[in-house]
Amino acid sequence: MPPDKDPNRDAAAIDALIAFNLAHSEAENLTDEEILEASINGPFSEEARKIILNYTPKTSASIERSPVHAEETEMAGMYREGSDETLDKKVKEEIERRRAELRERLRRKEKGDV
Amino acid sequence: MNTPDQRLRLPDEDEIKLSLIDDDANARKPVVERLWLAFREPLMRSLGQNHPLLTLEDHADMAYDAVAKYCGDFRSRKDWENKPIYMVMARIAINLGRDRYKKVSLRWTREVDTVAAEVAEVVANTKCGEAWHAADKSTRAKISQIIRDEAAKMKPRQRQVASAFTLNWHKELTAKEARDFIFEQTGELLSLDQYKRALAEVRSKLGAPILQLLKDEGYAP
Repeated sequence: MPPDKDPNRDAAAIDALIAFNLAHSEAENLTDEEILEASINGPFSEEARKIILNYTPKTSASIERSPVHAEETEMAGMYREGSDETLDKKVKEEIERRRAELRERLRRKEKGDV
Repeated sequence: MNTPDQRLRLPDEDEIKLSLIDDDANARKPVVERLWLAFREPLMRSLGQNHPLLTLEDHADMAYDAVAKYCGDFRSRKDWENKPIYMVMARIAINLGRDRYKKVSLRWTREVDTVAAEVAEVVANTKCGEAWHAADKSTRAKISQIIRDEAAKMKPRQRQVASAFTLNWHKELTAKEARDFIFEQTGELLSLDQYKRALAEVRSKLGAPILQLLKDEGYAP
């Protein structure tokens, strides 16, 4: 079928494509490179600069978990705050193992091994 | 030239990570401030590009929340240990933006296939639709990016109108309904004239890449 010659239909089609392209998010499919590119060359106005320079956080460091990440952070709330004393033995061991791993990595970095 | 892995990496990332799994919660607190200062601008840039319809204030909230969330959850996330801090944080921020967007537009995000079908119906048998379908995938992706970049650069009022226009496209709101919608979202009541002028700007700026495509594909003089 040849394209319709009604200019109103074309104007409506342009509106539809604008709306679709703005609303349709590809965010979950972004590569690291695309994220870096946007982070370095994305828009940053004078107004945005003012907002972040004067920014006062509305949340504390232990913010409410978002539904999207709820499953990823299933364990997070269990030991986000406070000391290790309140932790389960297994969790404590895991944290200690990670600390040791990071300390070892830092030692090797200091020696110039990495 | 920096490789992708080196860009936006701090020289002391391992030290920072070690602080984040410190036994003492107080040792973790300064890290939030440190990472916020280091990464607030790139996070704002990334959010501006990926969520152009949200406000700059929203972007700042999401950028800060991403930093706080990274610091708060790091101890429980073994899988973050070997990843660059910024990359994890940027993905958290983008996901927070998606959540925020869902709150204002459940229909777009939950029924994206239905809306896509409605868009397809509207563009069917138009010059615009023909040109869109004739274009290859990379051309369409490029146009989509130009539209989003233009939206991100718009003035606040135009952004409000673009947001109302996009979120309610399928409802064909009257000018009054659209102005009421903007008022509900932002607390700002635009005059009819302000609304019309902003909408004309939005259509002109965001429609330009599509009109260019029509020309390139030979559908317009």
